[in-house]
Amino acid sequence: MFRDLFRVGLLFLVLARPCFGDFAYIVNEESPGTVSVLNTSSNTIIATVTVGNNPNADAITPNGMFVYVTNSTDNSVSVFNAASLQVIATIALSGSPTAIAMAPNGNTVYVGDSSGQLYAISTSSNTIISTPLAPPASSVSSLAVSPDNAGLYVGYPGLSKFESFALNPDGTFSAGGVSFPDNRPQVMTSATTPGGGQFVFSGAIAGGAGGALEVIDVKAPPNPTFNQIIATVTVGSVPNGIAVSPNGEFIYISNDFASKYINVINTSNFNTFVATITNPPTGIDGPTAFTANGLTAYVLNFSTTGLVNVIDTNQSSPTYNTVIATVTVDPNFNDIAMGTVAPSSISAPSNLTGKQKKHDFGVVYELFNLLEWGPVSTGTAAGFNIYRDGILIATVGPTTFKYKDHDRKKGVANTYQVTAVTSSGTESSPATITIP
Amino acid sequence: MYYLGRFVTALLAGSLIQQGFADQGPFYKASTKKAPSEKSPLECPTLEAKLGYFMFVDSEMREIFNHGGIDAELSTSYPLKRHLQIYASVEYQRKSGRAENGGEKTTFWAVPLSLGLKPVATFSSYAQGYFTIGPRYVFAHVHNDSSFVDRNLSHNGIGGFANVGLNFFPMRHFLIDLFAEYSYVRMHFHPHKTNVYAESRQVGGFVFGGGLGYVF
Repeated sequence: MFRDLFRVGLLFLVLARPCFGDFAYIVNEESPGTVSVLNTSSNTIIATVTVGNNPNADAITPNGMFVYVTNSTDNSVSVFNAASLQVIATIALSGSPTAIAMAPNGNTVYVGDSSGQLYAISTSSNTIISTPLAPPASSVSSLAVSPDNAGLYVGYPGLSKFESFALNPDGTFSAGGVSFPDNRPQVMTSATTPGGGQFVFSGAIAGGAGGALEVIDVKAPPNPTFNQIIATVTVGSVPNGIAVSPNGEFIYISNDFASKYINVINTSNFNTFVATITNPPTGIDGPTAFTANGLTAYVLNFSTTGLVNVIDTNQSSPTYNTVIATVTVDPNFNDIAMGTVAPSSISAPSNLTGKQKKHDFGVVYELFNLLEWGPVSTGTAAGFNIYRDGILIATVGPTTFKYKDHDRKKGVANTYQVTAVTSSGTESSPATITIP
Repeated sequence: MYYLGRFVTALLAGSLIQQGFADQGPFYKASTKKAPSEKSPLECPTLEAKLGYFMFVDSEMREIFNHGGIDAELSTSYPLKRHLQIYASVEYQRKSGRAENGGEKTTFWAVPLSLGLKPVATFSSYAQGYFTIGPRYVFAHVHNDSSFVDRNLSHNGIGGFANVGLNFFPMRHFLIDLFAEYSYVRMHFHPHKTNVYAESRQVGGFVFGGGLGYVF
């Protein structure tokens, strides 16, 4: 009874959360590569972001602000701001990336490449913070970070194993991971379940063309089953998408090839199949992402190119666990991630220039940095915010297009960002300049 | 004829005597009394009040203080030898200007104290020329109408000066002076506010002016 009350309470909390209009970032593997931004409120593509060539995976920071996209041809990771849709960084790798996973704390994003090399990237500096390991010369298919940010789990289907690496507080990992001889892991994710359990879920190919969901207990010691596979559940043929509902109750595992359906498994009892979602005649399979409130899941339908299936995951809905809509997108789609930050409806200020000047009184002087900019090309600015080295220092009115930042220290460079702000508080991407 | 000749002789003699007194300048009165032993102005101390137009020579100072300023001076000369005097003066200079890249008002005032040697050349009994050179001590103050730099700053320094001029003596004990002066004093103010800087500046310049004086 207590569990039922708990579930009802959680459901209430989920349903009571306001829907902020989640945005799905769908990676399109083409050249030049793009990411389609899908507004889940209207189920329409509202923007397209150009990234590197042949992007194949993406991950998003927990605050929804930054999207990380792996570019397989360019051996790089593109980072763009979800509000401004501007690419703010491109991180070079030594190999072709094949998998990506965001740490739950959002501080680090992990990438694996086709040679088995792993990278830890700081999301604050967008630089690689890890030391290269001796790669096992086998492609990484999937990555997951334990919910407590203490372990990185890496799938090597070519070696029929996955490995776990202990993570340091700074997000780096060391060599000497723990190997788990296994089936051929294809997809991975992690979650905390309502009972407080912490798990990594691996969708793997288990002999022949059969599929298996493997449950690894990653709750830290003194948990007696830490880093052990505690359940193996037979699922569809080849898992190629896995996601856990935001409340941690259900695992949705998509199965390709002969199956083309989604198995829904209850995390309280891994052998309990809640549903098998089909979508005749096209089938339904592929990477999956939930909206923040957990009421809807978006699945890339690999059986039909360019089609995204929308599944009702509201437990109290009469159409629970059925496909309620389809969205036509780029046929080259490959991965999906979900965020809550709306793209800005206002463009950045134009033509930002800056110069240091001498405020000279004859016998004494002080230095100031003069910023000047032009009007926005999209939207109506109610004002402009000025940031110095990441800190907001001033807000000026809509007809002010210059700012003097006085009291500058001689020989010290400052980086300025100027954003436009609408009357509703939406802020544009920044125009940036560094004044030496 | 005899008396006519004596009258003419007397007239001529009187005229010559009169002319002789006139050639000796305003300090010698035509008098039937015996002429007193009056001194030459070269031998007399003087006290003057001068007024002039001051301008900086430093290019950066001229950009800020691009109009002239006032220079008021009290000076005195005391004879050491016939053509050499010792000179001392106290001045007050004041200039206002506008800060570059801001336009705020800034005011510079200074009190130079000068001491020098003054060779004098006499051109006539009514005019003499002089040249003065010597060291100068300056106390200077700046007031800035701005919150970005120190509002008030003071400093002092030592430099030098030189001036040339003409004195005219239209009447007894009175002189008129026309002069031109150059001074060189380098100062480096020390601001107290953080991120406010100073550079060494030549705060001297040119003064052109005139004065009225008393010859003792």
